[in-house]
Amino acid sequence: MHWLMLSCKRATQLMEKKMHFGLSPIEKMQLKLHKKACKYCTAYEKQNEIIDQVLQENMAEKVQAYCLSEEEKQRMMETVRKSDSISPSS
Amino acid sequence: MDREKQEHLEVWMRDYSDTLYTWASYKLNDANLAKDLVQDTFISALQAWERFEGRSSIKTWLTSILNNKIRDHYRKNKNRMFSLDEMAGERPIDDFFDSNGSWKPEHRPQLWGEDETALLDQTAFRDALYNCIDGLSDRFKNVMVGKYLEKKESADLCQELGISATNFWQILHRAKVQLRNCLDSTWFKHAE
Repeated sequence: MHWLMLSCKRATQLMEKKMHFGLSPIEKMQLKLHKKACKYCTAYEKQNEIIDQVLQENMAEKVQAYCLSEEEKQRMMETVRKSDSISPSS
Repeated sequence: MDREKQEHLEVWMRDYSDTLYTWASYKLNDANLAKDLVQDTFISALQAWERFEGRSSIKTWLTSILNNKIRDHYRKNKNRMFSLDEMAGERPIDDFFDSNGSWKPEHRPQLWGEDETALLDQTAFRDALYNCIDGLSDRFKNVMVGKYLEKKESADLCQELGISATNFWQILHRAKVQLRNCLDSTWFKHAE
């Protein structure tokens, strides 16, 4: 395979890299060429961006929150308090 | 303990303990350990309180102490960040690509309708997406939660997770390929 030609696997990996870290000039060119020739990866990129946008917008609402009970908080506070009174810095 | 410290501790516990606990639980995948590290975070924070200069918010400051503890934990306990359990449910990337790295015919991405951006406004689409995320492995989920929940810089996140940058986007790539495929089969049933 010519060095400029990426496989679909590599091309879609680079799309992810692009989103989070950016690409080198050569990688940019490789990806551009690949997308020109490959409608599947072009479709993938668009959909990946849609997924990314949804996650950016409301991942926070959808993530299950973990909560400490009042009792656990009290116990934790007690432990922290004790450790502070014996630590040399207090 | 003096009264000032006591008051700080009460406020931190009230305002931030659940957030820190949620964050640690996702990263560690272990509720008890998460509790311990949150507790240690408060202990360290009280000791360092005099040195807190208010350059960042309290929440950011506490989170960075916690993240250091998580990093230390991984450094001490294992070189490999992810256990087999955490990887359960992951499909090998070769399920989707053939040996040349081309899409296998049954997994070639097809358009999701005429106007794909309209999907963004559909609650049902978002729900389907989060349902698919629920089905992902803990490792995939944790990386995504880390990335999208706190909108972290990727480089910082890699450091906290104890993985390299390359490893990070390769994991995200695998997670996204599997996620997209799940959406394909649950939301868009192609009329073939």
